[in-house]
Amino acid sequence: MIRINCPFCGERDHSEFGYGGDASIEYPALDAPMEDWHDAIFLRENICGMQAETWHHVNGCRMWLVVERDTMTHEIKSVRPAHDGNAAVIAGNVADNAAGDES
Amino acid sequence: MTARRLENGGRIDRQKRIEFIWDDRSLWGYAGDNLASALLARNEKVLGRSFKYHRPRGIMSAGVEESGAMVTIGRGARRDPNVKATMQELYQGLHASGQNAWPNVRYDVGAVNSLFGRFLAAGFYYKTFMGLPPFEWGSKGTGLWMKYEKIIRKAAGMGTASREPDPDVYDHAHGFCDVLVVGSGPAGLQAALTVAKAGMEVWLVEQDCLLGGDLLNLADDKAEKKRLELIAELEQAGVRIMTRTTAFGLYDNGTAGLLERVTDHLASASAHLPRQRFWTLRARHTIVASGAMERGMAFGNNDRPGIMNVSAGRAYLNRYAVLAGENVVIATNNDSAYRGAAELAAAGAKVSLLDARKRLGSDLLDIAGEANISLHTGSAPLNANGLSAINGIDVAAAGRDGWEFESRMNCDLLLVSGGWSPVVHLMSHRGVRPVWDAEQACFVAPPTDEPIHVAGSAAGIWNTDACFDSGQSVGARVVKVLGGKARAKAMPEVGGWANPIKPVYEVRAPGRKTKAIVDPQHDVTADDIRLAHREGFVSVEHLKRYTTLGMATDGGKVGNIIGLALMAEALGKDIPGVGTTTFRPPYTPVAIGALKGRNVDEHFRSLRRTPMHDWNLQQGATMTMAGLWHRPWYFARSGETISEAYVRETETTRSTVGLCDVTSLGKIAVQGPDATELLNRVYTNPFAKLPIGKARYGIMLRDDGMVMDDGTTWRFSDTDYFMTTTTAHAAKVMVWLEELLQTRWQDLRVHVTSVSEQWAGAPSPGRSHARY
Repeated sequence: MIRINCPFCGERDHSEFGYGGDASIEYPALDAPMEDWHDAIFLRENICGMQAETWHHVNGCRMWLVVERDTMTHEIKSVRPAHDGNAAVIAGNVADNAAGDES
Repeated sequence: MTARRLENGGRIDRQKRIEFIWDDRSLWGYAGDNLASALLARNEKVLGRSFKYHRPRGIMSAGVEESGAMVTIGRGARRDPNVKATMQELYQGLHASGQNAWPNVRYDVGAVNSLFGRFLAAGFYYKTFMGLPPFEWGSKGTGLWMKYEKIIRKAAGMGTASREPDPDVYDHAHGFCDVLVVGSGPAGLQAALTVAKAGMEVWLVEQDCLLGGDLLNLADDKAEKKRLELIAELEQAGVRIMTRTTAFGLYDNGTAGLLERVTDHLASASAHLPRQRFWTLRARHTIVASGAMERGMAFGNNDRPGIMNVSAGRAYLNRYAVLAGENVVIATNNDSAYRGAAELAAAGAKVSLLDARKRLGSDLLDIAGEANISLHTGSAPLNANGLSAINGIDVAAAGRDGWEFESRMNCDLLLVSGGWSPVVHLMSHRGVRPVWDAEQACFVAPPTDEPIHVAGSAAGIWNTDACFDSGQSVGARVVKVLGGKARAKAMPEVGGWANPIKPVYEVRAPGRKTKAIVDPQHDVTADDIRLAHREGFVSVEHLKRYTTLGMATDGGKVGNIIGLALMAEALGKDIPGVGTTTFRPPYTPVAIGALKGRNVDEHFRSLRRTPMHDWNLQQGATMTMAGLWHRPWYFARSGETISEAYVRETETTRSTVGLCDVTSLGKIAVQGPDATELLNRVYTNPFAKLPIGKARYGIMLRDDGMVMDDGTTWRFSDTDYFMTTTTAHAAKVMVWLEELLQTRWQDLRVHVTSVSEQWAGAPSPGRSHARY
């Protein structure tokens, strides 16, 4: 059982999560040429070692996370929200004015 | 073999007689007995029949590795096959029976297979029945095999499971702790106490019904006092002690699988108790103090009833007060057998000791001398005589070119110690490859990066005192890692015997042909392994699969090391050169019922009902399953067939109006300033011009252009949409939208909420529809 430390909920069993895929893929613009889309959708590295991948806390807070996991040992190096804004809040890197805008 | 119960001693209560049934005969034992000890005390010799040759089998061990006394427990729907009699506690009315035999294990017609033993070697069925000449020459046809297979499969196997539904209840349970300690021998007890005293939350699991591990089998008052003191301290320190609980597997990130046998030892259990509990435990650290198992040796007819481990003979003597034989031969290649030999002699048995080693230290000679044991050095058993019970052995002496027949010796019990194998199974589950220690002739688990630590004889430490110390040492180190304070003793070194072990895996003399069993559960012989080698199976993984070595219910606990050693000899390599096999979970068998827990019958999956459920039933609906949903299929009037109902419903709808419960559709609220943009992107058709209050049908594609889902989306306001999905893909679409918004399109200000439970749906198609 892999244990994933969700930044929102705490450490949970992997059975609460859904596996996404390779988190390093950058999806092209919507009007990018077909070749770019082909590569982004179909080409994957088969990584032996540390890999950044997306997991969805589907039976929890339903947040998408980026998990750095060793594909050989299941050792987990880091977990952060996939959404940059959420990640910044969790990391405490939110500027004062941004917080002010919200309120 | 004439086994008998002793007047005194043992951990049994002679005041409490327990009646049980063995093969339709009423027998009795005492409270504290297990089935094996109770049968042994009644001098029952043949308790099982082997898999292939139907060889008579008796008790071989006193533990989970038992491969002889495998029996069926219970009757009817509760029939449980392949239970090790050594692990079944006795209870009033216990019903046990022999298996894989007809009419019974003592007189078994199937034993005729033994006569054809030379034809039934490794791979016999495949060689003989696949492409059977002259009907299917060569490797072409397997048509006939498909017919033979049915008969062959019927002949194979051990006990038969009940075909009725399991009437018992099983629970799933979850736990968390700082430190899990597996095993309660000297190392486990000491480790658990050391950690608990530092204020950590400790779970101590023990597969036996009593704590103590090997301490339970010693005739040592000092050790017993220490055991009781440690248990009292553990209870005081608040350690969660779980007996009758097996840590059957270690998994990723500190997760352990535990099987707790709650009522298997009770005559009548309270109705609210589950039969077993399947625990998923998450531990920050795990201490494996799972002990070691004594190996046998391969020699002729080494599986005859009346042959068992030395430690088993000792356990029956000291724990169960059963002297397993009166004229005992003990064969060993290491120091561990001597203490037990002396105890058996003290209990009144005539004991002869064969030690494969030629030179022995004065410590061993003194033990043998004081106990009046006749000691034969440089000797080993070559063949066991007797059919359904051993009545003597052929003794081999170490000659210049190996073993040579020397003499015959009468005996009614042969105890064998071929060395000890640390139980490295749990480490193996973690992908740790055990390393061969040539000096101790065993595999030990090397350290791992994971927070898993090995202590006691599981780490190859043989002396009881050193095992206590190793438990303290490992426990204290764990405390420090967890931020507590403790002083760790030095970790004792591997080994601890005064005289080095002499590796002996097989005793064979030239020119003598006998069956030397390596894996008793699957009747794999030493010759089978050599045959496999001659036929080109040089990888240990191939050997294992071809001969079925180590693939029975003991998972290779008994045969693997000897099998490896024989393979190494055939290949002209050393044991590490051949490799090791990987032990996989579970350590001991786990009932399917325990895996399923309460998720059976109507609890197999949850049921979703629509708000109109009762109304639908009142209208005479026949229901159907749509995913988890119960949904009306058709509404038949009395006497109508399904087709007639369909036609009537369709005609009515076309001529007037119909009503249909579509609540099972997925429903998602899509809200926010960029909601329109999101819909434009996920559907193939645009939504920007959809008027408020109107709906539009859309098709949703995957990244690769395949259709993922379709459905209708309503617009409630500029920024508020109501999307429906198909019933089957409701969850998937929700996950997809969340992924897009949280990963790729983080700039879109949209929030999606599942409202499938909040909305019911009932379209009313029909002729008057246009004005609706």
